[in-house]
Amino acid sequence: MKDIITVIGSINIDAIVKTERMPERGETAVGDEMFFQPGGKGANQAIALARLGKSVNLIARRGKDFIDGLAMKNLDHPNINQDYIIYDGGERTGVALVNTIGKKGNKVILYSGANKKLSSSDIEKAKEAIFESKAVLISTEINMDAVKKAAELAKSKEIPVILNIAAVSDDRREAILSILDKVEILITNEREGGHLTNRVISHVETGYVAGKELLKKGVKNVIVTMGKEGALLITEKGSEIFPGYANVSVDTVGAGDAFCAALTMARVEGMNIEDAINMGNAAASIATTKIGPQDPMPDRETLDKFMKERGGPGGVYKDYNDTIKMLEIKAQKLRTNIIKMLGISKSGHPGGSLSAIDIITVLYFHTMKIDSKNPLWDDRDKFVLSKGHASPALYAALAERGYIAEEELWKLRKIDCILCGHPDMKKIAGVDMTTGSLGQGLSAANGMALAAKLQKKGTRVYCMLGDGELEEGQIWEAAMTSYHRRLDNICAIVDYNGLQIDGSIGEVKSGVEPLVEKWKAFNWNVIEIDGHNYEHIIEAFEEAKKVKGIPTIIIARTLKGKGVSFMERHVDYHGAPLTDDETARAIKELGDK
Amino acid sequence: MEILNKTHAFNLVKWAKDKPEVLVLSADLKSSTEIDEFFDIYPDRFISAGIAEQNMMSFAAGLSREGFIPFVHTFAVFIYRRAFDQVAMSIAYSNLPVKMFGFLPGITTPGGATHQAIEDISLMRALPNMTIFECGDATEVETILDPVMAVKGPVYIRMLRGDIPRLFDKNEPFKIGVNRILSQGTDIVIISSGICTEEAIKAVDAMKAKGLSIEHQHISTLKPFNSKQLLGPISTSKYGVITVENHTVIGGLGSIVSECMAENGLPKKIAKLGLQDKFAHGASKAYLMKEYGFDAMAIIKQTEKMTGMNFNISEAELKQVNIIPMHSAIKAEDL
Amino acid sequence: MDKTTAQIAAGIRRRVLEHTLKNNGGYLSQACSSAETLAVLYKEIMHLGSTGAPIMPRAFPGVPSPFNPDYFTGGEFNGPHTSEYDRFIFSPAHYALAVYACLIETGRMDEKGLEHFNVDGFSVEMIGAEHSPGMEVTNGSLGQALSQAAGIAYARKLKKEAGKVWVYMSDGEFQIGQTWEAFQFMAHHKLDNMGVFVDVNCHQCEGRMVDVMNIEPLDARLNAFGAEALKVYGHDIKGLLQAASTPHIGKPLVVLCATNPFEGIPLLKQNAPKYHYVRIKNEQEKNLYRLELERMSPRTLNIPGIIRPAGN
Repeated sequence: MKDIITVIGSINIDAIVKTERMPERGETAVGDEMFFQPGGKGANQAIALARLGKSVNLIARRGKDFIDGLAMKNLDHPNINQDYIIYDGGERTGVALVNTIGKKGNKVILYSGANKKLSSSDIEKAKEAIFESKAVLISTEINMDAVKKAAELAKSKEIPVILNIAAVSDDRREAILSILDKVEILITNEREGGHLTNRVISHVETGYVAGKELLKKGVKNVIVTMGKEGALLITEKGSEIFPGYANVSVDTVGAGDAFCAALTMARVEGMNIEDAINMGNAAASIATTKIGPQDPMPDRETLDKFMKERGGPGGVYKDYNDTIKMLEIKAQKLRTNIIKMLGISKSGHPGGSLSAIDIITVLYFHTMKIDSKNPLWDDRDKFVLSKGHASPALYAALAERGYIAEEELWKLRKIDCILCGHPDMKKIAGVDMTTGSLGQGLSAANGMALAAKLQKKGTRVYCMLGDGELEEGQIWEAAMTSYHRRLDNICAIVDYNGLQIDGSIGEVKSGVEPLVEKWKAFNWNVIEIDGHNYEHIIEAFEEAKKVKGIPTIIIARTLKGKGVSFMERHVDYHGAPLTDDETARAIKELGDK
Repeated sequence: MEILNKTHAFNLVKWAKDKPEVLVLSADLKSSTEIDEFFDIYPDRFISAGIAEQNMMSFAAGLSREGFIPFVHTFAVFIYRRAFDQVAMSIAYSNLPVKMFGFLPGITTPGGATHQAIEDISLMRALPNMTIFECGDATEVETILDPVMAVKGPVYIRMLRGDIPRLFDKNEPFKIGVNRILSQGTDIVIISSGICTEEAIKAVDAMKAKGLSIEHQHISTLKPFNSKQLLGPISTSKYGVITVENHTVIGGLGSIVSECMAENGLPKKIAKLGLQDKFAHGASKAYLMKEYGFDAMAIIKQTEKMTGMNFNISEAELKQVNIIPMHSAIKAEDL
Repeated sequence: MDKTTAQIAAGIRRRVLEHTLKNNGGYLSQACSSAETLAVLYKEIMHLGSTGAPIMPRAFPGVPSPFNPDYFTGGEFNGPHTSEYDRFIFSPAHYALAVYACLIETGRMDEKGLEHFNVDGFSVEMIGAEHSPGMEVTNGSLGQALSQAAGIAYARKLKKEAGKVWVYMSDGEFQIGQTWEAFQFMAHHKLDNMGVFVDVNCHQCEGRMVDVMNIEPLDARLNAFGAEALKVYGHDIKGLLQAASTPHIGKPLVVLCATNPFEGIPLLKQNAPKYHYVRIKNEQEKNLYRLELERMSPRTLNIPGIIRPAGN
């Protein structure tokens, strides 16, 4: 007798368009290829398990397909029991509009159709299916009442529940979190896991933090699939990253479902969680080699062969000595130093320094070609802090990078100290431009960039602008010039923390918006990022390097006061001196993290 | 000594109550230029121009052509450095009643060179039609608005903010073209303006105690400059003149007084204290005044040099000088 | 009899050419590019009060100062500044002669006033100032008039005046930061009582703007800055008129007039790409311009000094 696994989830039709990039508003992007495919996480996982040789009870609802019979095409498999698939003539089968963009992944819009009607009584009626199973695999893009009921039934018979997180929204978050104590293994990707925990998961460390939080809700194992990084397992024992198997990837649709299915199969067969994850990674890797959600699902033979060839490497414990972790540790230290400096000097601008520090950290410890032992090195990259009042952030970075002694930091704005309120290139090694009078930095950066071009140097010039200073006319004179001179060695960054001294930008009656449109109209390459996400920041700088012929501006959404909870978003901390108490609280908070 | 806080903020609100033609303009420095109270009470008469000073200046010119009196508030540097052409051509040329309140004059800010207006008098003075005032204490800040309105043309004001001492009797308001005579004497003439007057008062008190006869005048109207009150004391002074200003010595008070002396044929020595053709940097006001040589001790040292005397005054003695609000030594002339 | 808009435009070109000949040089291309726009603004778009009879420009009154009570602006040529009437703020002061010509053609300025053009002691200056006919703000420093117009428009809104504020600008001014500060301000304060006509002739002193400092895509840039900007062919009177009536609630209107700096005087093309100031180099060239003038003139006009090519 085969192992029976119950799969509960959606049945959809996937309308897939492959494009190189997503269109902007008002733009039409041309797609390379278009497919209609049967899909839906429930269906995909059921088919994957069936191919892997397991018997599957699929509990789901379908309606009328807009292409007749398409949704069920692959579900006619001898291993799949269709008894629990409810046909609802009054509804349409769900439709997922999938845009698969280059190699970066998918963007999906889901119309749930019949799926959302799957009710707890449907589950109740199908409880025999659950009770005869060795495991229940549920994905959450269906009605949460049904998910909850299924988890309860399974739990009542100690049947392991594997929960695949999908379509988290604000109103479903609590429902999902409330059933986690009934879940054996939770599988999520970064995005959905981020939504679920109200965090941004962008790398191993943040995934770990989110996973820890989920463990507290009662789930035993959390697996965060992190694209090319692999799968991160978080348990009470700690966390391990399982790198994915590299493969010629043409389409990532369905990879997650292949992962869930293979992992479930492996668990049912008694494998430990680590080996099961490797199975999952292998199946996912194979699934990306063909287009579509269901067709590429491997059969057991293919999977076993693949595992034999590629081996089960086992989890690689990451000691977090990766770049991102390093940057995070650096930024944490710099934040603490900023607060210390400002606490001692009793003047200066904390808010804008903290919003900028993550970007400055990436520049000084990852992106820029500089040498602190030779600050005036001819071929170095340059950094112009046009928003000069964020100087504490720069000073902290310069000290950490070895340009100035750390003791100097504690003399900020004091007699005899080289560190003034606004940075002075004549006094401080490593400061490429004296700034502080807002709006002038980009013009200076243009000059440096043009000089580098004339001298045929590879120098890149980074210029950090405050959002408020974009109101200055000189910025637009400079913006015009950078393009006119085709200064593609300029990369400007807007620290878009949305606050000026007079209040938030919307409040100040001037209006820098619409930023993206303005810079595009001035012919710049515009990249929008989360200015506290190191991967975003690194990627944006890398992308900027590749853009030829036009300058790049990175519009980085940031939080004023980021990292210190009571300062975040507060305009009061633009230029207000910190009290001793505030300093102590902030340093304690930073130290605790 | 009485110290007042946010003098301009509260005063402006009271004063502007019955003057609907007065509009206040801000370049994103609402609270830094003490117009937040005004904004709260008269939001309809408050115009945020954003960080776009060139536009703000020409825009103010347009408003004033239609009968409004724009009170432009920002840091002084952003008025005359960033938008000098606009101030000259849109405002000064047409003699339009745009009133420019320039904050952070000289070294009154630790913001460093970018925020320190050290050559504003020099430049603004060169503009025809421009009137220039400088506040030296809380009384002047409180009473400057009527004179500002009385001028039928553009006015540039070196304004003080935050904690400001009251040096002068609050019943003796700011009067256009009238110097405050704070001490009369014949050995030496000390002429000070703005925040330097407080330092000069300390130095003068200390030196008077040592027997020196000093003429001390405080100047608050830098243009048009009234030399009448100065000519007599300068011509009778035994050792000459010392000017003290929170500004570069090129083109400011020292230059103005020198021109006056030359034009009137007064052959006396003059020493100009202030920034000696140097940019300043970011540090505290007290430190910078000392570092660049225009605090009380610098005035004493300069006096010693010119008189050949040695007063043996220590820093500690200077600190003890208690400044009480001063009456002008003589009644103002009929000006 | 009232002239048609096209006749006014032709008159502007003719009068400016006449003076260019007289002075052996002048801002001729500016008249070529702006003639239709100025004509249609004065004749059909702007709601300006009458000046009564054509005004004779006054002698230079001395610069403004507290001691000069006689001072006046050139705004009187645009009619009374009462609340119902529109106002006209002219920015590129070096186009002055085209404005003077337009004022004559529309019966606002006495024809004899042009005899004072560029003559010492008179207000009809070569590069206009605020006392010159048709001007009313200091405009010679490019980029400043728009902000001043915004001040006037804002003030007119505060005073609840019905009249609009029209501004005429040159495209070169869009290289100036202050212009972008002004648009940001106008959009933010929703100054929809402003209409801006821009002479997009794509040339500046040093040559073609794309070579000197590119400003395109200008319409996209302006729209991103919150204006209602549209492009029209600047020598098409109907198109200009239609553009002026484009709805622009809550936004300033910008009409980008694509023009030719040699329109109407093909001979000018030889100066490409330096159209900014035409200097007549020799008698031979002068004669060619005289022939152009003759072609443009009503028959009754006798142009002195033409040497006709043989056979003509």
